[in-house]
Amino acid sequence: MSAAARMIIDSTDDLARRISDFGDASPKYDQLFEGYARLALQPGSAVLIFASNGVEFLFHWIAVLANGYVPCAIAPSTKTSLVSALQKSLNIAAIIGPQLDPVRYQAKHVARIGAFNAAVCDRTPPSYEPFDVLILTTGTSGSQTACVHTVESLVCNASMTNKALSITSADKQLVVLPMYHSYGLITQSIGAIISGCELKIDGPPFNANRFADVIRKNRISICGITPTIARDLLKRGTVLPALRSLSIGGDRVSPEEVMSLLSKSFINELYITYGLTEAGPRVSVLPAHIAPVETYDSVGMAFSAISTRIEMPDADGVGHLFVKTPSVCRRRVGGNILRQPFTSDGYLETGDLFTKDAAGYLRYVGRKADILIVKGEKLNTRSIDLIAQLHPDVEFARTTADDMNSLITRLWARDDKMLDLEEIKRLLRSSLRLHEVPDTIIQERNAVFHK
Amino acid sequence: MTNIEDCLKDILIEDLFVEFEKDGILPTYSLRQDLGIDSLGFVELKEQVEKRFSVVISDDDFTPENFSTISSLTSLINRCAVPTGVGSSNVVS
Repeated sequence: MSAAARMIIDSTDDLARRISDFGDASPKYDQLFEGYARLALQPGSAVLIFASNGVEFLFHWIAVLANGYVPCAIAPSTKTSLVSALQKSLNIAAIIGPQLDPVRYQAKHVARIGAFNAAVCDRTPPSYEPFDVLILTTGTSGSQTACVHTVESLVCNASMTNKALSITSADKQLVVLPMYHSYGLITQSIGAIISGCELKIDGPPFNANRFADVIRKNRISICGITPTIARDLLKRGTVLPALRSLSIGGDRVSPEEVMSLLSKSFINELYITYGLTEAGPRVSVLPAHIAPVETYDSVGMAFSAISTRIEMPDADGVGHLFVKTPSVCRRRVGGNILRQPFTSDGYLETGDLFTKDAAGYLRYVGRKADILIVKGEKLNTRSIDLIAQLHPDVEFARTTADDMNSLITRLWARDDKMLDLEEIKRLLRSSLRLHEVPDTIIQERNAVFHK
Repeated sequence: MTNIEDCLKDILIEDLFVEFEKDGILPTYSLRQDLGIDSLGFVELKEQVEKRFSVVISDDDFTPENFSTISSLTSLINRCAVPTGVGSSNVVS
């Protein structure tokens, strides 16, 4: 076992004292550990954890890891059809979650671990190694893909982020972002484990006044939010208790928004970050409170241990960002991945278009065409199209976003059939998460069908 | 079970596509932990509740505590209901 894995696993006694949520009961880590041991899965077996934010989720995640299995967190709202697809594409051995119905997943063995049900689905040879971690890349790479990280790479990235944001054991961190995403899990939760800071976990629904109240009552000093939450706070004119630092990541923040946030007296330090799951996830940070105003349109400079380069820049310097980081994933798995996004000299292709100025400031320009941010959530339009194409009458689907950021799915029918659009919408709603369901579905005539 | 609880279960199944049998949803289940409602799901749930029960849920009432279970949400709807019963009298048992 690596030192990083040992540190995470050994943290549970101490963590129990400095982590809390708003639930009634605290799980007993030892019981969870023993519960997973009794499943007797092969080392390296992947375990899908279906749970919302909470201490219990984090302790299950660590107990899975400590048993030599491979934890994979997933949104609890994920539909059975996608989970079944993930079972196959990621070679998932067991699925756990509160109120999980084992019958849906053709479970061969069922157990109760803590407050969660465990369904053992498959005992085929695992595809991973003990102390690997699977992080789903729902937004960036399609719905059935994941990055295989090691615990070391995640601890390395969390450590780089802690250093960049000056996070220490004296801090009290609030998690409001989903812990099944890399920011909440790695940057905040693993970051808190290794920094020794206190961790308060909250969950949806998000409410600006309650957010302020939780910060005040728990004397929170640091918090990470999305640009969508930041815009909501600005729009409402919410006054927060003084925070030592606020970090924002996940989407673009405009220079005007950076200036508005900096004008708030309750934000002492403001960090704008950029990352992607494959990189572990954080790559760069802009400490806006001390940065020159002309850099407010950037995501700052890469962490000191990370190298970046812009491939094939155009006349304006816009090109594909490649990064070389010690926290890079081992590989991507699942779906129809035909090639790994790595170069022979160890750089990772981010799929994002950037410029980089002489000082090293990175400025985001755009993403690959299939990736959109809708309602604050990253999504891959290809995933929506693939679900629509499961309908027997649909030959081809293409999803785009209009100027108002609402999703439109255009459908082309087989044999010029008239499509039942209501039925197709039901199919989409039963398979996709709410933010992925298109606002409008249109049937196009086959004469304008261009694949 | 009140009609409000019954209607909330319909919303969860028909509008939020929660994958549970109606009879399998207990009023004490956590909407977040047991039924897997996420942040956008709660926004959708609030909108559907406002529409179906003709109530307005203020930002201050849109909290994890009020949206904890079907029981707590039922209590909130009863508190928010217009005294004349407009829109909600046909669902309260």
